[in-house]
Amino acid sequence: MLLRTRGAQVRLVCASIAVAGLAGFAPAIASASWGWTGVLPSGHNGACPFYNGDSSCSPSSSWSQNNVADQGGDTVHAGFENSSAIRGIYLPEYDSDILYESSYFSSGASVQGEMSWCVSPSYCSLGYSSVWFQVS
Amino acid sequence: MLNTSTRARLALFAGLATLATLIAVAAAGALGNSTPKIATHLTTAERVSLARVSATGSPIQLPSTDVRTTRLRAAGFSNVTKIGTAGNASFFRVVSSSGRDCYGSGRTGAAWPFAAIICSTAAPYFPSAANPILDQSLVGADSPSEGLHFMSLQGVAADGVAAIQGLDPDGNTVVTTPVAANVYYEPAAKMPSNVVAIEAVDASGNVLTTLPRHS
Repeated sequence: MLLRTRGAQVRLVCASIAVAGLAGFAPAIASASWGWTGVLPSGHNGACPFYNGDSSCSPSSSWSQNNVADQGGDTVHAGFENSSAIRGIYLPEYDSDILYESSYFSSGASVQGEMSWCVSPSYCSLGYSSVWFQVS
Repeated sequence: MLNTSTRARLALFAGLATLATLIAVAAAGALGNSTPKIATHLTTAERVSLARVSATGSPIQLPSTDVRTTRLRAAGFSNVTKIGTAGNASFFRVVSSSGRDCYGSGRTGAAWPFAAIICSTAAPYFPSAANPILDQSLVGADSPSEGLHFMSLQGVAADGVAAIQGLDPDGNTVVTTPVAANVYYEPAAKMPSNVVAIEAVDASGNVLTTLPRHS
């Protein structure tokens, strides 16, 4: 994926370093974790019951935490979903986030961690976002 | 010298490239019609006010035996300060080993204080004129056929932000939430069901930024 400017490339590297710092803690402490890195919307992993053509999701489980990062491009939606609802926040580029499932669904519910392309055509550009998320 | 087949392929490629360019330009024009105009001529004083969060608040202790506390400490997050409340939401500044503060929010009185913690990882950092809000609004949907929409409004704003406006798909303002002491909150019960974007405005009504935010 070509980035549009040198500045964008530098910011992506910086963001990746920051995200790596955030990512490092989860596997060692969590009893289980699952992660995904890729590009939305074109690189979605086909695992989501909502907006499947624009989103990537973890397997369904009782995830409690979703660590997410938008590494550049445009705004994405980050959160949790099941077959009947999706809940989360909009995450602008170069922001990272820790989301706690118990605030979005009933604690212990079986949900999938997700990152979705901005599904609001009037307010989304025709670009892409390089994203990373890890549920635990 | 190119043979006929090669010239035909080059002509086809050039035609497709031109068509793609025209489509992209047309799409950009269509988007431009619905994209709010962002204030660009800010004074120095305005830029300073957008680069500051003055709320100080008071330190809180996270539950010491909670694994989420352990995870945060291990990830380099340390002191947590409660900087404000609005409705039944509380807002926090979280010191990060990155050297830049992160901000979180959650339901007041909950056993775990955070629904979300957000950090800027590269420029434009929050708070700044280019990034004057750190929004933590609930965005979701209750059916795959339903578009994502804002179900509540909440977040932290720089000093120079006066209000958050919720916009419907046509760009009309359908809800306005004031920013008080750097935080804003509009509960789900008072939210219109058709808010697909928000914009932060200053005291004069100038639009400072929008979310979803364009690169």
